[in-house]
Amino acid sequence: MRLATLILALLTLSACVPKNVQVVQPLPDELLGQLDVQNVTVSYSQLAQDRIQKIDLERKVEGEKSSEPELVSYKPLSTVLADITKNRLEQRDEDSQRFVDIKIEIDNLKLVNPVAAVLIGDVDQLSGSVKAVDSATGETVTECYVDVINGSGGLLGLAIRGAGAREKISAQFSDFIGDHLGYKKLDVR
Amino acid sequence: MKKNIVSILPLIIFLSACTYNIEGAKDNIAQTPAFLVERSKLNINLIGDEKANHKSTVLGVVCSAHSYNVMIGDDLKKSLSDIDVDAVLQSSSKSDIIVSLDSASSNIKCLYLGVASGECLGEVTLKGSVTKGASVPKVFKIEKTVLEKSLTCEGAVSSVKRASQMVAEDLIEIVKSYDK
Repeated sequence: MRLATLILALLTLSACVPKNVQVVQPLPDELLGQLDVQNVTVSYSQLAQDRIQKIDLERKVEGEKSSEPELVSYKPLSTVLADITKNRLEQRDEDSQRFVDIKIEIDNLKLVNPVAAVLIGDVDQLSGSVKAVDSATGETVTECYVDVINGSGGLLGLAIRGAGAREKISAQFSDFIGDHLGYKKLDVR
Repeated sequence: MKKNIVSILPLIIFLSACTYNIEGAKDNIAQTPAFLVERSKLNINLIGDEKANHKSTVLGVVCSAHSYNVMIGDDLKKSLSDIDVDAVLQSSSKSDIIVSLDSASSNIKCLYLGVASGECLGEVTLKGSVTKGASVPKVFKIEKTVLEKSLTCEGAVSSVKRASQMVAEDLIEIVKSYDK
């Protein structure tokens, strides 16, 4: 019995249905696809800050001692997610006069434990609150909660998942933001 | 298999469904016993307390099958009625204090962290104004966030309850310091 399969079954059977985007404050119809993103900032909520900052610090120390390019160029999740989101939203948004800043507050980043993935299955997860605030007034234009969960069971799952899991799940996270803002789809996701 | 069952049981508890009524925001707030207080003719009136009672929004999957009714309006009504009005209002005061609640909202975010381990973050926001006589209303927005560790979704209840208590304490301080 694989734990990941069981978790997914339980999620399906429970009274809640997992949604990738949960709308907290809807975006008015007339603003769909009409917001021009200026800045993206990422912070960690109290649920996440200790765990994620600990991982970031450990990787930074490893990078200072190592000569491996991947470790030397390691960036914290807040930087990776902010850069990817800004980049992907810029590719999708239209020119508009309604300037907004995107504020992301991450609650959870969980990456697959390779040993657990081979033995019983495991998941990657990135979740957090997203607010689009008016750049001029600071007023919240829309708010949603994004939860990306990717199953990765067994050796095959790990092989398909490959490297750069943080970057991949960050790209998915930012695509859900773009969908919520009503942006046009990218040709290749 | 046994280990898997142990892993799954807390998850089932997190995902099972039930409704919680979160009351008692005034539980921990120090009060003057009623028999010691000679009641003033002035009052602290609360408007919009029914509007402030609300259902929490659960963000994310964990604990989202539960329903959380936050009775913060009812709690504030009790808390404000227990305030010693004579100690709060200046002796020259001739007007009641009116506390008007415009809106209250809360959200709950919980994480399941593995066997017998979970955390919930409860955030409560209360908006309104305080007025006395013909003075300009003092607008307030109080936001409180509380993190609770818990093996079950009771952590969601206690985090929102504690955040509601902190919101109520802040509002009572605003009322008490109105004339100062």
